[in-house]
Amino acid sequence: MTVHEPEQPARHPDGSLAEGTRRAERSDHSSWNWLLLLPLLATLIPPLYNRVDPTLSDIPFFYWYQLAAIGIGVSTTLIVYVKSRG
Amino acid sequence: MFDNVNTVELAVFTALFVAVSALGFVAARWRRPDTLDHLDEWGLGGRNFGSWITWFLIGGDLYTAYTFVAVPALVFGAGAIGFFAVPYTIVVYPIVFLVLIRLWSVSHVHGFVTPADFVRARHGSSTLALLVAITGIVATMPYIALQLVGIEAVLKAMGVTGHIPIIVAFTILAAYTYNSGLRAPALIAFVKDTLIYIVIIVAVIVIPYKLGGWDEIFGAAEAKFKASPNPGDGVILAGPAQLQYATLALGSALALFLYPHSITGVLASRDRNVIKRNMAALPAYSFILGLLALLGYMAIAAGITPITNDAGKADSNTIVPLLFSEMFPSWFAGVAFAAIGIGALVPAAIMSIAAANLWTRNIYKEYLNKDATPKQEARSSKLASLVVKVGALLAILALDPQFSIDLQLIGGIIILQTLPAVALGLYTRWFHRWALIAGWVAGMAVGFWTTYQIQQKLFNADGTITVVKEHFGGSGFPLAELGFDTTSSIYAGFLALLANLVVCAVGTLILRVTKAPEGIDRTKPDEYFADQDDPRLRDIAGVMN
Repeated sequence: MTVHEPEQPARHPDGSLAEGTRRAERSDHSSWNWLLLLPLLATLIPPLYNRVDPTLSDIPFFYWYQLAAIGIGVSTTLIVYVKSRG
Repeated sequence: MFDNVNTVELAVFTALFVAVSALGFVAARWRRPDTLDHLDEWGLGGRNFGSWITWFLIGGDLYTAYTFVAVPALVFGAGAIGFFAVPYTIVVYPIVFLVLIRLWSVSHVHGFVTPADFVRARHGSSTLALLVAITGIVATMPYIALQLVGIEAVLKAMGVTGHIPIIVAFTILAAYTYNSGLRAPALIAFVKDTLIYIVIIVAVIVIPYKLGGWDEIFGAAEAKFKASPNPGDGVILAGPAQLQYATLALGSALALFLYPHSITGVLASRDRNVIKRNMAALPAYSFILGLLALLGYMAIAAGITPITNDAGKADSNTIVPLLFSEMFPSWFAGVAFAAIGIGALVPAAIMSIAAANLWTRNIYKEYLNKDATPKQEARSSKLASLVVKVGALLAILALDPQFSIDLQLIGGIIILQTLPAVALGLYTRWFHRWALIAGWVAGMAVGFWTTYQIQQKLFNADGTITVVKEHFGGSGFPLAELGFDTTSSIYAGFLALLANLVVCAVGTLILRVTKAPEGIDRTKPDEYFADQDDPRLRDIAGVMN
């Protein structure tokens, strides 16, 4: 993690920023955010995984698929975090 | 009180419990603040927790003892539907990822402690803020009470009966929460979660091995559900149950971070990156929860029969403790029980702190003592945390615990009704404040009406159906009741939220046409992106308080 010097913009006595020193409009917008929909699609449509076969070491698909889907959740949020790290 | 007690289990359990309680008192000196007489310190641990502490704290907060006991119990009883806890805790983090960092930012700029603080500033309506605060308190209370049910299940499995042990445990909890505030559960969470991880990992390796493999376990479960006349159970979802499964997972996920205790954990973190990192790291708990759910099937394969309670009903919450007792040597069963018991203390502490903060900030300071100093606020919260815990204790001891279980079921549905004001409010001010109030009323009405209609049915072997419970029998509302030609059910909270949103939208349009007065928004757009290095942080909060 990089440590950077906080800027010290000119301010009014009440603590608000003076006009003109306001930082460039910040936002959380990023096309990477769309990735966050992936875990929802993967888990909120039960017909995708509501079956017994193929089993994985005797565990029905229904269970090991959803446990594996945790990995989808982790990797997508991780990617979005890394891409948006401030 | 102590007939047939397993002394080794009880000794290990008690030793760990006492050690953790000591930790709770020591916590007041941990990351020592200048004073604990400020809500930012007592109620939010100094607003400075880093990634690790936050991970343990929120993990310990969301994945409660009751969850650990009730989810396997549901899988034990009904099968696949109980596994909804896994998709629920998968989707929650991507859903709230962007929302929580906005909430964190605006809360830090303004010094908000509760979600209702935000609502008041954003929508300029103290009535709406009061509704959000009351909703939060009402939804949290039964949740605290249910943590006692978790402890009770463990005590029963060890052979300890009667109410005195629970009263003692909760008194200790109340004392160190009063003393140390949020630092106590944060520190204890390290112990709790470490124990939970060890126990579950050992359990999913040792128990299937002892039972002859996963094939045996799922085979036993399948045989049980095949023999059962209930069409809704099974190792995979029955067709009509799929809609309920998905809406229950989504609805629960939307509700989770509206609970005041979840928000307390989020606001206690140091910066936006701490929250983002945790959204990626918290699913580790979901994995443990998924494995835990499978303990329900292991209990079936092991032939566990739940302990019958005083009312003569089988208490399925006892199956996991009983399974541990049967499968593990006594000393390790003691460790496992301690994990669950301590697992009840962390969320109970955070929940009581969150409810107390709501009381202080949005009722006491708003209506009773407008000029309250930070010290008076902290004092009010500390006392309220005691009152909340006594209330939870009475709810379990004096009333039927079933009452708390029903209330908690409704708790998820009512907290969901704060979504438009809090979560959507973070993104838009399009909704009129009065429409948000009307939507809340509509959502509450639909939520209560639907859950009141839901019966709990027992399917008899001869094909007849006995209604075990006339009202509040679950959260799956049959769509047929609305005139749809289907046997599918839908999560009642979902319907309530839809009604809420429709009323919010229609109400806003009407109020705009009639030019009803808008509330004043005290937040500014770029405050929703402020981070820890922002020079305005806290300065502004200082000016405003």
